[in-house]
Amino acid sequence: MLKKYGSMIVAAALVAFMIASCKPKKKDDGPVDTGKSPYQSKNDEGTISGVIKFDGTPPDRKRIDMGADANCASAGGEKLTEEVLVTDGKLANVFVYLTGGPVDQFSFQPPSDPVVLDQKGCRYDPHVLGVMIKQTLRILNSDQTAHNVHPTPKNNPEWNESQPPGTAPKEKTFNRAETLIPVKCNQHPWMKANVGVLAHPCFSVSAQDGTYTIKNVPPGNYTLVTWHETMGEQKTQITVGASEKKTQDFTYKSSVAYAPTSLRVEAALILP
Amino acid sequence: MGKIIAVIMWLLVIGTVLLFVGQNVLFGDGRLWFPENISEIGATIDTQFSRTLVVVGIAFVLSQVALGYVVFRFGRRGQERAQYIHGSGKLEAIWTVATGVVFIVLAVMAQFIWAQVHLQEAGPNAVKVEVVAQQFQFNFHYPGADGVFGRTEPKFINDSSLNYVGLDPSDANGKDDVQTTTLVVPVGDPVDLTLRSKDVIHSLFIPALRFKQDTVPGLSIKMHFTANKAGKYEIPCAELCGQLHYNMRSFMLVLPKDDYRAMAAMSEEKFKERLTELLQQYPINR
Repeated sequence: MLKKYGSMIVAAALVAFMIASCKPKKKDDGPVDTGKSPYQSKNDEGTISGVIKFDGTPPDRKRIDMGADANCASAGGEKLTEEVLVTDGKLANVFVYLTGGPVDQFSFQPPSDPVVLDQKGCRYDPHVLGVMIKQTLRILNSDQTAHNVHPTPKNNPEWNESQPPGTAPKEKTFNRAETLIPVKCNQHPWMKANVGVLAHPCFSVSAQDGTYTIKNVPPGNYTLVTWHETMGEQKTQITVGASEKKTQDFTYKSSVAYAPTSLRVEAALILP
Repeated sequence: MGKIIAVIMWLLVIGTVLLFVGQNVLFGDGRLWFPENISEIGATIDTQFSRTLVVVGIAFVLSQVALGYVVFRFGRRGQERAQYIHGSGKLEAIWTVATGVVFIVLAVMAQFIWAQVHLQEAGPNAVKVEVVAQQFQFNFHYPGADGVFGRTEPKFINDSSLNYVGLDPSDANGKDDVQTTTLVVPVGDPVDLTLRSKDVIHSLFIPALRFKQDTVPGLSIKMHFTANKAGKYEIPCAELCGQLHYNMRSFMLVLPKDDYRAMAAMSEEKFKERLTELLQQYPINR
């Protein structure tokens, strides 16, 4: 019996296995249903502002050799690295955000206005930016050369799309919080942006003069986090009262190793 | 119909030969559509190419003329009928041995040229450059004023901070090293390249030097050349390496010796500044 129908049983099992394998996989890129109740404003939100300072001698900004792409080489704008951007002792491109307290207890509606990420002079502008979950990220190409936008997230789906000059902006959203997502350009390896994705609107990026402001902070106790691309994170506890304006400065020192960021990736390739 | 086809075949053969000879020998510069040769061994490679072309050209003409003859003579409306034969061991042995001998002779001659650039040393005074290819860019690593390459490790690779080759920031030998996307070499001096790849197989192709070499992940491949004319030359990637392969292109800047020596002693910042100026000064030699 087994001899007679053995091959048929094996074939049927194989077919069943293949059908089972073809079943659509559970999507992991949908929004996470947190079950949190929507935040109800009492018009008593506070504000946190401050300055990110830099203590020590900042590393020299390196000149980017864009000679391989004539369009990049002839494009305007300074061609210097912008990882550590210090002006008069003030540090730019630091992502500042809140965790804990009401921003984690409630859900927040994303703004309808998109956040714009431009590719200009073969660099991403801005270098560091934040968006809310489901908020539109509009990506432009203002250059006369083709770019290839490639975010490499850990919690969101990775994508990789070319954007030739003169083409329509790309509009993307992220469905899961992630601090921060590196965005590279496969065509121009020196290009990099960092996108912070949060479930709430309480974040900011330090400007050229090191200043940041987080508005509309619901009263409560929080952890205030600063993130820098190469120098890592700093954290402090902060309490914001009703309609209170708090000031909190931070200082990064060139000689101190801060907490590792979520972006640190060890290379796996071994060159001989 | 057979006769017409045969005549067309002959005309096509004659036309092809005339076009080639006319374009390259009678009215052209005899370069066989090659770009300008600026390599010390380029002429030898071109000669080998021409030699191969002549051999296969003769085989092409003879075989097409013979094929046309058979079509002409044994066409459907012709008087004679073709005869089926099962095969001729003697004939097959002759053409197989003849073809084998021709190809082995060509291959052995080519090996002499190949060995010159692969197996012979470039010499102690050669300019050393390390090439690290990645999607979609060639990176060139120079040892700087001290002539010693800094230590590299994959964990230090960081494209956005321009450390494409993974220079160890704590190594003193690497402090003056220079990383660019343009190959800068002197006229007349041998250049010793060490080629590597960070990701997939690429191919460093410098047509003006008759130089083409794959870069293979996990391998360190050494080759050398001597460029004998200053100018700016294209370096396309000649191996399909991914979606943006079509855009993977660098330049080689061949400079007078004094200019090169001045640049080799510069800091990375000054080197790149000067490089930007020179890339704009020199037109592309094709």
